[in-house]
Amino acid sequence: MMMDQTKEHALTDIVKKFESAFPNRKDEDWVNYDLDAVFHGTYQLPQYVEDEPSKRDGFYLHFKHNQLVSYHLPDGASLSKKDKHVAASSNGLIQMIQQSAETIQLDISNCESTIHIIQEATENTFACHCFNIVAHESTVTFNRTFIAPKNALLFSYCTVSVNNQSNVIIHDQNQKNDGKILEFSKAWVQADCHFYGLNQSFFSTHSRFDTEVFIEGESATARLHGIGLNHPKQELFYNTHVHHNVANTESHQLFKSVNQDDALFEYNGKVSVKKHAQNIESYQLNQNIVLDEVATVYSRPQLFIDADDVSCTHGSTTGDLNQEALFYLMSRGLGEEESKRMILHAFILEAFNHPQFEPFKPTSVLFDFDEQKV
Amino acid sequence: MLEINDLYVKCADEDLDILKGFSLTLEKGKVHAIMGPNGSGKSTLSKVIAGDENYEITSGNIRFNGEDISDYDATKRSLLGLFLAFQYPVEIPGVNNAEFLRMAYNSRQKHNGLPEADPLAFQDILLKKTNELNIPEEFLDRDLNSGFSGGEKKRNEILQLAVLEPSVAILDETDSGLDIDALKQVSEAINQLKNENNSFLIITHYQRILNYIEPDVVHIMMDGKIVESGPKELAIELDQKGYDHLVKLKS
Amino acid sequence: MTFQDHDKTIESIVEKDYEFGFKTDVETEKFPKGLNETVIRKLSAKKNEPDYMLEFRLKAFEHWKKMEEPHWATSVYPNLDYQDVHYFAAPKSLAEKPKSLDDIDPELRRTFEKLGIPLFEQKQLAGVAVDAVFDSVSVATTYKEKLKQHGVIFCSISEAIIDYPDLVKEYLGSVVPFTDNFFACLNSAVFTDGSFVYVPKGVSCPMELSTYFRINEENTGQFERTLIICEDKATVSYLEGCTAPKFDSNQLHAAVVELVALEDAEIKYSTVQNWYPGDKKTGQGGIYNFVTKRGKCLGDRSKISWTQIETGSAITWKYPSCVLIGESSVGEFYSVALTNHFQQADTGTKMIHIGKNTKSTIISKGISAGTSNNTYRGLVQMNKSAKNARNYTQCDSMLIGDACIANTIPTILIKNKTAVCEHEASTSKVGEDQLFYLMSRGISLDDALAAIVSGFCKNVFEKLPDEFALEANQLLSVQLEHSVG
Repeated sequence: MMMDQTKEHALTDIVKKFESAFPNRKDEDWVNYDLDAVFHGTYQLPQYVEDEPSKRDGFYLHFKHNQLVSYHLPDGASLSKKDKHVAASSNGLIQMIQQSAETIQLDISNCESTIHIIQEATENTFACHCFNIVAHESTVTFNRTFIAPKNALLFSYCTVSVNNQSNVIIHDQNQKNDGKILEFSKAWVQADCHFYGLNQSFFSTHSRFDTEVFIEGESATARLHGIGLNHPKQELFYNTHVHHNVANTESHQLFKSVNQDDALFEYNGKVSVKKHAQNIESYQLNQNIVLDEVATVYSRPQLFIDADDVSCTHGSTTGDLNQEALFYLMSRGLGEEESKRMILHAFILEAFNHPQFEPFKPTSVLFDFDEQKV
Repeated sequence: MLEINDLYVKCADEDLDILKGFSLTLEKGKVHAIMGPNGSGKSTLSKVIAGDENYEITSGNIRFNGEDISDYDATKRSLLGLFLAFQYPVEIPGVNNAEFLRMAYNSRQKHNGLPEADPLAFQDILLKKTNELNIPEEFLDRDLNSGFSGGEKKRNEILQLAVLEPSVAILDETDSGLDIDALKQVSEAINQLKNENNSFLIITHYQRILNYIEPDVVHIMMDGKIVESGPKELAIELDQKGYDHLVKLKS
Repeated sequence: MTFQDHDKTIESIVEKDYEFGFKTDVETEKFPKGLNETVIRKLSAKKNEPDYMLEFRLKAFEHWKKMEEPHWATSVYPNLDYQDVHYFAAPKSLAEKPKSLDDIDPELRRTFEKLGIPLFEQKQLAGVAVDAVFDSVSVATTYKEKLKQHGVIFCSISEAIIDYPDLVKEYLGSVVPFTDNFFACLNSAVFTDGSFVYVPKGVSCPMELSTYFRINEENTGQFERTLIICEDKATVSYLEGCTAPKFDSNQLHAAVVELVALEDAEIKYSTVQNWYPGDKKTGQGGIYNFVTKRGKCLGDRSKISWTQIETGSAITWKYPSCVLIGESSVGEFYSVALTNHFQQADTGTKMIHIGKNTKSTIISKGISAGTSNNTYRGLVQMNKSAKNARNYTQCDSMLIGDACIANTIPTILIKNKTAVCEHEASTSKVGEDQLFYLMSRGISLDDALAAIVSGFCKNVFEKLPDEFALEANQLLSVQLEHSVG
């Protein structure tokens, strides 16, 4: 790896500046995540680049290095840039992102559209992206693609504010990235609004997605789904926290994973129900399959309830493929490999079992597992 | 026995009247039926009589043997001799059916200044009732309504009715969801329990159950009040012509 | 009347008091407040302990001085002043352990009788042997001789240290080493008394064994230590109960319980915990119940089963755990934790699967009422070696009133593919429709609530020895009286 001494120092300096507010291993959300290792690598700091000409169809935002390099937006969507500012309340990592990149604000109103967001880091670099989405009276789908090639470190902080009967769907695709990704999202969902988050992380080396949702208005809902597939030695972390701050709200979480040899998967999900937030329904489910002897799965589905009129359930299952189902299929004459593939396929597709997520169903995932043997 | 006077009721957390000037007098030894379309307020009526605090009486009152019971809680109303057979009896896991019955029975005995029954004596009372009503004994060992089928739940309500011997029983759509055999069983049980000292208020959507339990008076309820009362033939007429016909007639 | 009105009516009803809040007036010998090496030496000398025990204590004390008081639980409490505690308190009449049950100070005997623990064998619940511990010392152990005929040793730990040094040396600290945690370490340095049980090979203990702990003196820490060893194919069922008088100050109870089950052995450990929970209106006073309980299933096919009914204490911090080492060994945890008023409970279990085909079951029922805080915290860990391990966890919370807090914090860590782990949890309000249904059958609000709660807890109560299931049920309904609207 090429290494530029001065640049390396620069990253260390940035890290140092915010280190006091960094999460550490005493914080249970970070017990298994090796933050030191993430920063220990040597990365170049990105250079400023002139706007790249668009080569894409449709509406999109393209973040590369530490900036928004090009975009094309539908009517009703407008962009503005915010000064670098650091919110003292956030953890050090978010502060670092805010300090390193300009904050892009995307205002959307009266708009029904699909917008692609590309978040790209290039080989051997360290990239930060920071943007706010504010939606009014709109139904918008964001298809977000993360690109982090070898030895890239991609940091992202995104806030979403969902107002006036808006629906916001964020569909994350994190496919076969060899670099490291650390992503933070925060969403505020106002009355009668709906927020949907779907994360597909297939065969990426090292990713962490922290999603925090604040349900702030009555009859608002949030739904978070995630499906993670880990090849050997890959690591994936999902941290979620849904806050029910007002009465009559609903949330659903479904996170699933399939893990091969030496893979590490963590689901750390929290639901908090604030005092006086009555009539809450909350569901939280984490299901994991361990395909080989030595994968590690941490599952922490947690509930913090300060109100009494709530109905919350959470569940977690971890194990091998469903042996009963396997036996059933084989007893109908299907081969073992074929049966296993079918069961695995069904398991993965369950993450897309919601009308909003149907369109994102993948078709070719399984072949990747086949290569590695099921 | 039971007298309801110009009752206005709304849902406690909504500002919407469900009963709007409902009046009814149920005499000793009589069977009255209330029929009405969905949404006419039938089930609200039964819950309000039993003392469900999710509903609020805004005016009017409910009298039981001359006593205004509108402010009494469900326990007190029951102890006075009111009984509601629920349309959807709730499941209470972990609470043994026989023990629950003994608790309810003894609560009433105590209230009436009568001796409480010990588990063994009560077992005899229960077995006598189950035999009379042709209810399987295994009902007693199960948890209260827990895992009961719809029909079993309704029969369990009737068993409670038999054990508690109320002076006024309200049957809230006890016939709904029952197949013909179960309906017969339930009706037979009710006929057995009926005598000159108690009265029944049968709330139903269909005339069917009235073929088995003969009402003295049939009331038709719409939009929160009684719009027509008459002899049992009224029910047959209603069954043939439907509620729509009646709606048109009224408007 | 609306539900809101009802809430107020209910709140205004006067509440029942803690039944066991009386203090016994006996002349007491107490060490002065404070903790240092001299105190530990004095304590050890007081108990005529052999040197090995003093060494054990001093080693633990050295280590403890370097440790920090833990505050990671959801419970909130001030840093405790460990120098403001008496580390030994005992009635003067017990300076010499009474030779027979007849020699016990009548005042003490009356105390235990009042608590429902008669110390005359003929008055006892049939088939239950009792070790009664009063502050820092064991008052009496009943049926000792009868048990000895079967080879079962049941005595206070102080006696065991002197009489059975080999067993104590081998097993004390083998399940909970003194380095384990802050409170276990403190206990290792200063523990005063507790029970010792040894069931030899092939013996099924003919009686229920039970220890009753009573704190009487103010500002006294109770540091009990219990050790139960079951040899191959032996079984025992053990129950502990506890109460304390009302004081405005908080008192520390830091116990350690160690269980060892060898091949095919089975230990059933039940707790009915009813320490003084503090004042209902102000939350002042009450016991800090910081306890480390752990069992080791060393032998193949061994089984350890924890059942706990937690209704008392101002703060509870305990996680009775099982380390499943032997092949096909079984760990069970059944818990009902009820918090009301200002109580805080952070409790649960750890199931560590190491051996093949090990199985564990966790059933936890949390009930929070008043302004209390009730947390389930659990760990299920399946190591690489735990082939075909199975865990089933169910933890349900019930909320009564709108000021209480219920948290569920499970951690599941799986490191092998053949392990299967299932976790289910639910939190819900006590069913208004259920209350209404029972009330409409003439049952009072309190009785209806008690019936629903005891139904909710049924599959835990079923695990208690018969003699105590009823007691637990009553305890629960007393604690809950008038807490619903």
